[in-house]
Amino acid sequence: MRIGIRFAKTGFGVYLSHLEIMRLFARALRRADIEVKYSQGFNPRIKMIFSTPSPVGLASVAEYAEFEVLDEEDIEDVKNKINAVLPVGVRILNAGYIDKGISNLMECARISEYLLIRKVNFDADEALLATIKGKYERDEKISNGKGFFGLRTLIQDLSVEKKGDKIFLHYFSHVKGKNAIRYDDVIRYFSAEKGILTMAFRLNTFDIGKDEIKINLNEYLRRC
Amino acid sequence: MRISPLKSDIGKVVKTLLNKDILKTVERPSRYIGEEWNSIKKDRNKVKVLVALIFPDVYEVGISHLGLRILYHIINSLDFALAERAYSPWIDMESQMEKYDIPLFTVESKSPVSSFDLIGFSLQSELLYTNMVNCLRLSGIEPYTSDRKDTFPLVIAGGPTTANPEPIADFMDAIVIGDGEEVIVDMIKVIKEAKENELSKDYILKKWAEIQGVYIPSFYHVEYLETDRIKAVIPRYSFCPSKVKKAVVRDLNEQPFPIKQIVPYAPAVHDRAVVEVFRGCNRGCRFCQAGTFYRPVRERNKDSLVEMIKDILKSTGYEEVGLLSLNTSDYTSLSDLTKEILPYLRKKHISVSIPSSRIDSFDFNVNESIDSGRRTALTLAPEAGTQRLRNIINKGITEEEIKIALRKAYEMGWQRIKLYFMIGLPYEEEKDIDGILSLLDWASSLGFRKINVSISNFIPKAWTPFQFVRQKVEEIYGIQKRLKAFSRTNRRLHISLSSPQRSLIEGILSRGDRRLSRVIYTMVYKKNERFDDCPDLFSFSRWQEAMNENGLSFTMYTRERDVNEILPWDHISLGIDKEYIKREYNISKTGILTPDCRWNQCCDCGVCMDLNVRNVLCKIGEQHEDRH
Repeated sequence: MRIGIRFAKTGFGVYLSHLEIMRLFARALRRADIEVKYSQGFNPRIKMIFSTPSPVGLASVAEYAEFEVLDEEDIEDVKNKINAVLPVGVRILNAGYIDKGISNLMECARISEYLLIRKVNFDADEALLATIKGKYERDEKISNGKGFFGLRTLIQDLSVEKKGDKIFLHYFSHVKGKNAIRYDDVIRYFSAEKGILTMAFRLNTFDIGKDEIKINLNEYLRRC
Repeated sequence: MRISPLKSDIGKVVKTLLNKDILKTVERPSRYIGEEWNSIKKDRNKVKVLVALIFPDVYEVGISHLGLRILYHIINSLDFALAERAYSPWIDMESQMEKYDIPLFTVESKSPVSSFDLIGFSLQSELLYTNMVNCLRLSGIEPYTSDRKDTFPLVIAGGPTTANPEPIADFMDAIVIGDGEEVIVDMIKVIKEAKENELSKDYILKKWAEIQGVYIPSFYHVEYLETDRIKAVIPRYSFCPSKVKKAVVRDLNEQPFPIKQIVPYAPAVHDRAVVEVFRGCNRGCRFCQAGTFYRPVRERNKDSLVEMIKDILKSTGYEEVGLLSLNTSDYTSLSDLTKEILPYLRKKHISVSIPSSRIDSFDFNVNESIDSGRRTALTLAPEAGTQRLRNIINKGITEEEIKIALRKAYEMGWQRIKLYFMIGLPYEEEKDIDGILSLLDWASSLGFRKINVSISNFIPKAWTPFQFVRQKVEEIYGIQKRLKAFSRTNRRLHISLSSPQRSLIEGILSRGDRRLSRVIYTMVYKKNERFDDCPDLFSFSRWQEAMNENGLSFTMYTRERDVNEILPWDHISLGIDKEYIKREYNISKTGILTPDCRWNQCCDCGVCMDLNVRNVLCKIGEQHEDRH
C-alpha cells in the first residue's frame, strides 16, 4: 500500500540537505517499527520517493514523499508513530493512502507557492517596493540558469506588500523544467543591497490540471 | 574560582548564526545545527557542572567516535551535570565565525565553549594537536594553563595519544590516562564540590591528582640535560605519585554503554550503530600502541551484547551495526553472537560490519553468514613482506596463513580486497620490500579484480617495544619511489602511500617532550595552521619554521633512544613494566615471538599485577583452532 506524506522542514531543519532528509526518514521509519517495502537486490534499502526536495536554506511546509507499507494501518496512527521519532525541525503534516493508479508525487509536483520575507532597511522601503513592482510590470528579463526569460513567465502572480518593517513577496513558480527558478535566484534578483536576511518559505505545491488549474497535492493524500 | 563568561553570551551565537545567514554559506551546515535524534539537551540552570566535550576534528569524524559517546552518556546520566558536544569547525565555518565574532560553540545549546566549567578533548591522533589548540583559540580561552589563573573552564584531555602526554602538557590542567568511564565522574564530583564551596582551581587540581589515571602536568617539573635528553621529572608536591598510573575499568560488563546513540544527519565516517565487543588486545605487536594502552583484554558478555544490539538498533533506526574492538575476530563468542543476532538483523534488513580482523583468527564461516550478499572489500593486514620481519614485529602470522586467507577470499567470491603494510620498520632490509612486492604479485595472480594496498610509514610510539628505535625518514622516500614504480606495472593494484612529512611530524609529537607545547602554540597562534591530518592543509615548512623558532630540531626527536635514558613519558605508567618493554625490544631483532596470554602462558608484561586486573573472557580456555 502506498502512503504519501506532506512534511515540513523548519527551524534548523532547513539546513538539511536532500540526502540527509532521505537518510533521516529511512531511519525514522525503522525506529517507528513500521513494516515498509524494501528494494530488491544485494543491498536492500527502504523504497522512498521524494518529490522536488527544497534546497538547503529554504523552509518548507510543502515537502512530499511516498513509501509503501506491508500492512494497512490507520493512517493517523502511522503519521503519529513517525512524528514521534522524527527530530525537531521535520514534521509530517498530512498523510494519506494513495490509489494504485495514481502516478507518484514526484511526477505530480509542478508548481510551488513561495513566500519571501525580507527586513526593510529604514527609508528604502517605498523605493524598493516600487522597483520590484515596476520590474514585474515591465516583464523584465531574469535568468534561471537555463536562459533569460520574462519575469512573468518564471514568477507567476507576484504580489508585494509591506507589513511593519518587513516586505512580503508572494509568488508561484515551476519546480522543474525550463521555466523553473530557484528561490535564491529570485531573492538575488530583487535584493538591492546584500547581507540582509531574507526568510524563504515554500507554502504549497500543486499539480497542473486542465486549463492551468492548480491542483493541491493534498488531494492525492485524501484519495483513499 | 570564578566563572569567566557573561551570561548574556548565551543565545548570542544562535542570533548571529541566523541573522547573518551563515549556515547557508557554509559547506554541509548540518555539522553545526545539533538537534540530532537522541542528542541530549539538559537545562544548564538545573545542573551544577557543565561539561563541553570536544572532538578536535570535523563533525563527521568526531560523531563517529565511540569514546566520546560513552562519556557523553555517562555525564548526562548524572543529575548534577550535563555534557554538550563541539567539533572543529571546517575552515569555511571558521572564517565566518571569525568574521562575525562567533566563539566556538556546542551543538546542543549553541553556548560558547568558554561558558562551561570543564572542557574535555578527545585526542585520537597527534596530528590533531593543532586542532585542539585552535579550538581553545576559537573559544577565546588562554591556551596555556599557567595563563588561565583561577577561572573556569578547566581544560582536560584523554585518548590514546596520552600514552605520552608531554607535548600537550602546557595546555592541559589535567590529562586522563586510560579508561575514562569512572575517572570522569570522580573529576566532575570534585568540580561540584568546589563550586558549591567556592574552592580554588588549586584545590581541584590537588584533589584530581589523587584519582588514579589523572595526570596534572603542572605538578611535575622537567629538567633537561645539556644534550637533548631529560635529566629528571620531579613532582612538585609530596602527594604526587612519581609515576601516574593509568585508569582501568576492570570489567566492561559493569560499565554502562550508550544505547540511545546519537544519529547524525551528516554522513558520519562510521555511520552505524556500534557496540564495543571488547577492549584491549594482547597480541603484542611490537609497533602497536593500542595494544599496550588498552591492556588487558576485557570482553563483554555475549548475552548482554545481543540485548544491547537490539536495543540500540531500535532506538536509532540504523541500517548497520558495527562490532567494535581492536580485533573482533578474537572475540571468544563471536560465532555464537552472530548466530544469535542474525535472525533479528535479517528480518530488519540490517547488516553487520566487523571493522578489523586478523588473518589468523578471521573466520570465513562467520563472515559468510553475516554478510548477506553485501560484498564490499575484505581487509587483511600482513603488515610486513617477509616472515623474518613479521616475526620481528611479533605479528605472529605466517606466509602460509596469508596465502590461504587470500585464496579462500577469492574462492568465496571477493572481487576486491584491501591489504595493509608498513614500511620503515626497524631492521627492515631491501628483501622485506621485495617480499611485499612478490606477495602483491602473487595475490593479483589469483584473479582479484582490484587490490587496494595501503602502505603506511612506521612511527615509533611511546610505551611500545619499538619506542627506542630511530624513526626512519630518508629511507621512506626511497622505498616509496620503488613502490610507485611497481604500482605502474600492475593495473589491478592500487597502492596508496602516506606522506613521509606528515609521518615525521606525527612521530615528533608521539615521542616529544614538553618543549613541543611551544611549537604547537606557534603553529596555531603565529602561523595560523590546523588540520594537519588533512593533506591539503598540512604544511611541513611551517612545522620546520616553528621548530627552528623554538630552538628545536627534528633529529632531536627522531633519534634512537638509549634503553636506559629517561624518556619524556617515563613518569606515566600504563601498567606495563618497562623491563618487559626493553625485553621485547631486545628479543625483537632475533625474531622470537611472544604469544598472546589469552591462549598461552603469561608474558609477564606486568599490567595485571600492577593495575590489579586480569583478562575478562567470555569463554575461558577455548583455544583458537585453525578456522580456515
